[in-house]
Amino acid sequence: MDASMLSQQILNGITLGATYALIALGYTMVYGIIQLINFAHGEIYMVGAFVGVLMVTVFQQGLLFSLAAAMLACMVMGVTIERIAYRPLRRSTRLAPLISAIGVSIFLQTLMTKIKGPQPVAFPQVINDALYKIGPVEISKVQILILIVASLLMATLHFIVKYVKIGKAMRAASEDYDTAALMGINVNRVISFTFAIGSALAAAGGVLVGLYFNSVSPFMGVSAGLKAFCAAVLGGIGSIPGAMLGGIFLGVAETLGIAGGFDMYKDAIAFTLLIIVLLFRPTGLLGRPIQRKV
Amino acid sequence: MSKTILELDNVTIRFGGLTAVDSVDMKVEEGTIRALIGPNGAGKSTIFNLITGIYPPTSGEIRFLGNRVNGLKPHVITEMGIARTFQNIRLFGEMTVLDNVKIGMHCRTCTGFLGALIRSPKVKAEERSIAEASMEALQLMELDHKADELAMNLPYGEQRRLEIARALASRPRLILLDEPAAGMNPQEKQTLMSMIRKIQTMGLTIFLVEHDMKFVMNLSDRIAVLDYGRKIAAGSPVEIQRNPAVIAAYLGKEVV
Amino acid sequence: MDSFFSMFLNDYYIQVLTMLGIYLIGALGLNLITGVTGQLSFGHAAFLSIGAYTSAILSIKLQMPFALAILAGGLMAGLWGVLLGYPTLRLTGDYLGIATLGFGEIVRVVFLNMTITGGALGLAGIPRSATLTVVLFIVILTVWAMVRLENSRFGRSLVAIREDEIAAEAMGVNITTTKITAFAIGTFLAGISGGLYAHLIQYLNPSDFGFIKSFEFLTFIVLGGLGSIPGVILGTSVLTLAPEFLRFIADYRMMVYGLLMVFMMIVRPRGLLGGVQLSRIFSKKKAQQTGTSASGGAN
Ligand SMILES: Nc1ncnc2c1ncn2[C@@H]1O[C@H](COP(=O)(O)OP(=O)(O)OP(=O)(O)O)[C@@H](O)[C@H]1O
Ligand SMILES: [Mg+2]
Repeated sequence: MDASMLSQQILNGITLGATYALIALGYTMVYGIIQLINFAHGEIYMVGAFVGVLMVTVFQQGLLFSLAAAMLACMVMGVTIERIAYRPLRRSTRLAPLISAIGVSIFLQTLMTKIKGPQPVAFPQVINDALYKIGPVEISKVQILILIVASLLMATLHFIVKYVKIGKAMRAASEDYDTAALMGINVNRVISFTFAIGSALAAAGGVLVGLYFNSVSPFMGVSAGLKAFCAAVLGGIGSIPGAMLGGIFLGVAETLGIAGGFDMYKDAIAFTLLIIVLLFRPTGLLGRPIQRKV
Repeated sequence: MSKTILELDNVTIRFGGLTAVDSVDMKVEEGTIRALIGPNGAGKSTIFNLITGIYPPTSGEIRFLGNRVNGLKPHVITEMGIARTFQNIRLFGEMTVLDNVKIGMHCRTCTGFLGALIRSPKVKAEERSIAEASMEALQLMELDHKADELAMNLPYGEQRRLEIARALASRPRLILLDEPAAGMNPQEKQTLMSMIRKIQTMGLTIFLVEHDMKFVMNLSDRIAVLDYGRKIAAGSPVEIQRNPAVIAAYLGKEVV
Repeated sequence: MDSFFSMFLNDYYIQVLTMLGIYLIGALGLNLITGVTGQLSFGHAAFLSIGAYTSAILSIKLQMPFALAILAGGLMAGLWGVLLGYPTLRLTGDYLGIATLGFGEIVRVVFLNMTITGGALGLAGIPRSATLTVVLFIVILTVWAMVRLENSRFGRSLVAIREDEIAAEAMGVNITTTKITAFAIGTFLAGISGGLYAHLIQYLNPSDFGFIKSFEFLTFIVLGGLGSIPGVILGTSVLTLAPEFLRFIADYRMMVYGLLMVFMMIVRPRGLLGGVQLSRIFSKKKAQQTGTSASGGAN
């Protein structure tokens, strides 16, 4: 692999990684507060992509409007799912909400298969794609769009968590749930908010990926969800910068792996990295070490 | 002069920037009741965690019957003859009271999973002896009538006693009790005190951490005082009561 | 997976029951790891696939006798269980689950790329030796073994690890070897289950052993009641047979199945028979179960 090809692959990897990061953020924020691996999150991303398709084809909307509509729809969906399927289980065993999440995931996946059929559908090309040459690398309009939208969304998230009241409450709840509740933070609202934000980001990821790969399917949430989850753990689950780092890291590693001739093992790259990282840093790259307190 | 059963030699542990235990020396004589007191956060529980191998010391050495124990795993140390209870009760909540005590016998018995399947006469005999010894430990702590209840359903004071029964089942030579009387009413404390004395007459050495001064002064042969991780005094109950450094350490805290 | 039963219409009920038995063996294995010992595993299907491919290949290529092939499959799965368990069992709670999930996906991709397994085309021509009688016999043997373990020194140490790892260690339980032994037995049973599966369906494809299958097993045991043998039997039966009973709603079957999972968890978060132990049902002394706080399972 020569230098120009390498940088091209890295660019492609960052693009892919940015979408992983968008999904990973939802996993990490939810885990940070209620220690739930929300296995239905990949399905939210899938639904987001379909809402995008619907907006563009049926309602003849532009990309940005469709993106916003998908985000909004998934926000509502994410909050509703939490209300119905997770909230009643908040004080029960750790595995109960997990099983509930798997139930939600099966439901959404089969529902979408029922509505749209199992075949992938093409994402309508709402923008005239073009390739730009910058130095040794080529970048497409869609890639630029993905990078810009993803950065904007992540910057917004950063702003919310840092400066907005509910965002600060989110951080407090993730730091120490019980104390936050004692201090008068309305934990239910914070959790709903977390699901809303996470779902909106996943929906954005879904629309962007649909556009990038020109394909949307009821099953796209499964593998993307798993990989994004890997990214969240790689970065250190519960850590927002960790999810971003993990996503990009995974995207680049996967793209380079495929270019390096491991494309048959593409789906194993993420998990191999994951296990290696966990063995050496049991709480991920940016995760805080667990202290065994007696 | 009786022989030393436990010896801490210049033991230090740091958690990040905090020195929780700072160059502590200590000797516990066999067959005695030794108490360790000190204000909250002084490092008392941490010393127990060091002795039982839950944390490795940053420096220093811990010897049990002359053998170095730091660096060994907790279960090996238990097998050597040190048992303990926990300040924040750590019972096996969903197991019965009897089964909790049976776990204490774990290191004195040997049936593995194959033995469990085959259940030879030898295994059955071992299982019987586990049950008998466990019932004895329960009787000693006056819990035998609760044997079939789930541990998590016991009242607080009984949970503390169950922890002691479980520790006794491992047939220790030294038993570490971390605030055994915490949360008990005066009557329960009185019973507990006589139980501890009885354990002593069985030939065990007792090392306890306790905040209740009356309890400590009544029971202990010798007392060590810890403050901010450092040992500031050691001696008989009478000496400790008169020691100005100890009074200062306690008053200093209470005034705030 | 949804259409799997409908492929075999002849001897339909026998097929379904045999399958149920096979799943039961695997589920009892996972129950030992997750329900009894409290170690989260999201990769159980991988061990089924290791057992399945090992025994199938031995049957096809070496014409090994059925019983030996199944046993070899179980041992191979158990060996991989130990190999994976050794480094990862020191991870706690969810991280162990995640590592096993990763392992499961890696195994699937590796089988997909091996030639001896037939890769994505799958492995066909496995003799159909797993009859209902054989499976039933192994199920009974497994249940018997699990009941014996439940009330033994070894079984108690597993539960102690689940309840409080630090206390168990302080009471003299060697948690590393105990956890690994539990993992070895559990994955061995998964391997046996996988081997039988191969010799029932006669065809293997790596995609049948993805993480979805692992979660299916997890659902069996959680829904039945973690750590409870009758619970595992009930949960596995209900969930294996549910799609059959839901057949009348045809295409909406899996949708309803998903909703049922959510509903059952909300109604009974500890599972149908959470906290029920066979040995206690049969013993005269009944233990009061007034506990409401559910602390069992992986934490
Ligand atoms: N694992 C740990 N990590 C970080 N700090 C710790 C850890 N364990 C103990 N500490 C700190 O060490 C100090 C001593 O704690 P320790 O529990 O030994 O106090 P103690 O004397 O038992 O107090 P108390 O009377 O309240 O039980 C405390 O400041 C505590 O916060
Ligand atoms: Mg303490």
